[in-house]
Amino acid sequence: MVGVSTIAESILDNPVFVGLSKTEAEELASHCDILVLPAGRAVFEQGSSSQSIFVLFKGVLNVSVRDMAGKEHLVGNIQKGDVFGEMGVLEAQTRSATTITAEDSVLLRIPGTSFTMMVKQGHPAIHRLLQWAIRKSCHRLRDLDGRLDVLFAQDKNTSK
Amino acid sequence: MTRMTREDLHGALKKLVLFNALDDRGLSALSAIVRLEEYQGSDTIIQQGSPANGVYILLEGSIKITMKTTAGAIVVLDELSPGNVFGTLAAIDRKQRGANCIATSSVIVGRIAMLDFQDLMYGSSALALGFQIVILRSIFQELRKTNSQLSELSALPHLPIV
Repeated sequence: MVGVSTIAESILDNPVFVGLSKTEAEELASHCDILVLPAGRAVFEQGSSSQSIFVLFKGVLNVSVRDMAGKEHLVGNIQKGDVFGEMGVLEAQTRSATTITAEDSVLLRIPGTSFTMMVKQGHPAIHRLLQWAIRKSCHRLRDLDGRLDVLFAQDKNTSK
Repeated sequence: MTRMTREDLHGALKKLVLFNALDDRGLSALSAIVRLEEYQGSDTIIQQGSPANGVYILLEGSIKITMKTTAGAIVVLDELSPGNVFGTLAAIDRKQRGANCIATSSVIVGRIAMLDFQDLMYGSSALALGFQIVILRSIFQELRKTNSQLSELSALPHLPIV
């Protein structure tokens, strides 16, 4: 069992939570737990209910989706420092992919119920987490928009 | 002048799934800063290339989102119905608008002006955090739609958003 002050130290070391005070980090830590997982373990599986939001403190995760035939396809990875799993919790949807540790990994697990409670308290840690998630999603949307623009251009050229 | 009053606005926001992270107090506070605007069919609400002037909540009517691509073609990216939030990306990045938003019927929108938007995005009150969840969820919606369009156009597999 990892103590609150140890979790708080790891929280303060993470770029997501930069600027948080020790007390605020300890408050967040008191609602969270740390998962220390060897390589090859699933953090969550596609289709399972979304209970928690995660921050990857150490290691790498592979993200895969299962097709209709049941075959797994690797579609990306999650790097140290990333926030993930927030969409399933905020949208109350099942997990859209499976995440598996590609190496020994350490994760912060924030239960959805604690997250909701800390939103109501107006906790600065949740502000940091949401800012990170918004930045990540905007970056992703800009990237997809750019790819869409390229495809529209190709579509126009081929339809000439 | 619009037909919708502030009381109507509170009730209208309360019905929107996207806003369910906000309680009654949050919805009242948000209603107080939303500016109601009315448009007629074919009016341009947002012009591609213009500076961001806030984010919009579509309350009544329908709009289409079009974009002039770098190849010069005008493409319709999306059609929105009440309950959608639009104009988010440029407001966050403080960049130029990436697309046009055009009314396709009589429309009532709620606009949150840039300064109010930034206050909510940089704040950590319960209202600000609830609002940030609304914005994040509206970006998720856009991500899902863009992802589908990409996979239709390119026959690529659908990429999950985790």
